[in-house]
Order: sequence, then C-alpha cells, then structure tokens
Amino acid sequence: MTLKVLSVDDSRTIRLIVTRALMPYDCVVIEAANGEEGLAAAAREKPDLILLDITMPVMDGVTMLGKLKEDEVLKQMPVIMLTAESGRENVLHISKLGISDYLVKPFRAEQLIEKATRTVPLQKKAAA
Amino acid sequence: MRRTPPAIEIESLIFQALRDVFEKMLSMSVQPAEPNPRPDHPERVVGSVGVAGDGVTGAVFLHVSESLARKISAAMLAINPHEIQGREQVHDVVSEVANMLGGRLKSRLCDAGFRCAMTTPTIIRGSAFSIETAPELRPREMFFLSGREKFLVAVHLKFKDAKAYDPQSS
Repeated sequence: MTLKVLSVDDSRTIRLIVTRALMPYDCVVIEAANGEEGLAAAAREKPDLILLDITMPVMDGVTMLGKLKEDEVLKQMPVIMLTAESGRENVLHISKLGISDYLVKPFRAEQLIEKATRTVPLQKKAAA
Repeated sequence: MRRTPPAIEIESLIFQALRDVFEKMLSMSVQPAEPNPRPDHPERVVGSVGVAGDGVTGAVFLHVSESLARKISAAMLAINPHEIQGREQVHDVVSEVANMLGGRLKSRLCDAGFRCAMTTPTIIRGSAFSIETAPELRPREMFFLSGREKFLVAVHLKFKDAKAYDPQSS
C-alpha cells in the first residue's frame, strides 16, 4: 500500500531532504510551507503521516497541531514533530501535545526513516 | 520558575551545535579558529534568528562567504555547487543552519529558566556592511574553519541578570 506523507516545513531544503530520504520507500510526499497550508493539505489528502516543523511563518507547527487535534477526522493522523530545539523543556512540552514522536534537527536521513517506520508501516519499494 | 541560573557557556554550545549540523547534515568538518586574521569576504551571506522572552533578548548571526555558503548548500542538498539554482537555494540552506544554531541556543536558555521564543530566520547579503546592535546586547564572536574557509558566528544577548551570561560581571 502506497502511503501518503505530508511534510510541513517552511524550509524548502528540509522538505527536499525529507522527500529524498523517503524516495526508496513506497510512499508519496506532499509538501506544505506553513501550518495553514499544512492543515488544508491534511484535510484534502488525508495523509498517513505528518512530518511537522515547529517554527514557521503564517501558522507555526504547534498551532497547526492544536487545530488537527480539534478535528474529529484529522486528530487521528500520526504526527512526528521536527524541531531545532533539543532542550529538556521543549521536549517535555511537545511530548504533551499528542504527537507520535519527535525528531531534533540536525538529523540524519536514517533517523527520520527509523522514526517514520516506527510510526507507520513504511515499506521499501519493490524492485522493478 | 527561574532559580539560580548557571552561566551559559555560549562558545561550547555554539561549537557543539555547529559540529552537529556539519557532521549530520553536511558531512563536512568544522573546528574552532583564531579570530585573527579576521575573515574578509568580498561577498557575505548572513543568516540570523532572534530570541526574545522573559529576561533575555538577542540574536544569533552566522556569517559565511558566498563560496562557503554555496559549498554548504551543495552539501545539504547533495548536489554539486554548480548545480545550485539561484540565490534562493543558498539563502534557504543558510537560514536553516542559522535556525538550528538558534534552536540550540533557545533550548539552552529555556532549560536555564529563561523562557523565550525564536523568530523565523532572515538573510542579509552584501559586500561591505556591518551589523550594529544596541551596546547592551554584548556580542560574542566565535570563529570557525571548514576546510580552508574561516567563518564567524556572533551571538548577541541581553540578560536582565548579567551574571547568567558572564559570571565575571558584577
């Protein structure tokens, strides 16, 4: 089954790194550049997994997550937060928001895949 | 609730954060360097993020040459430097590196009891400019080498309690 992964990050670079890391896997990556676009994409595409940055313009990741959790349908979607803030206080704060996991930037592609695989049944693409 | 905050070791914090970014996302090495001679780049790209909150305000500035900015960008995007399309790609990567440095600083400040928020990154580019901030922001300049390229990270912070930043101040 091809999974849908929604990458919400204002950095095009990070979205590109996410897309590249997931390329060998049976999934499609949908991109959004802020929380507002991310919410719209989540409602439209019903992704199997959301990779969500915290610090973004227009609408940040914490606000977007709060809005996801208010929606009866969207609140079920697993979310992995991507954060540049590795501190104890931040980790405690985001872990209380109802997320599946979090990943601290900078990260290696393998760390992203490991977290994603623990959250959804990500499978490698079958050889052609 | 803030109690007795420990002195914040900015230099080691920034170096560890830079080393993490360079090793994990760029596969490049980085090491501390002497301030002199100061890097004198014909064209400079500066990424910055601000922090502001209860008891602390400030910013982190990452100053790199145009050529190092392109090398960093190519490494993060896993492409050759000549494949970089326009300045926007370079700006996005330098912004993201500044964001990761700022995130590490913000985390350390929050863990020390200085609750604060972080701004989204901004970019300044040019050849002959200097960044002036209010004198009470007390800049700390740290120099690094990646390959043969020297670059600078400047941290400007203002604490209500100066001892939190500099234990020798009274």
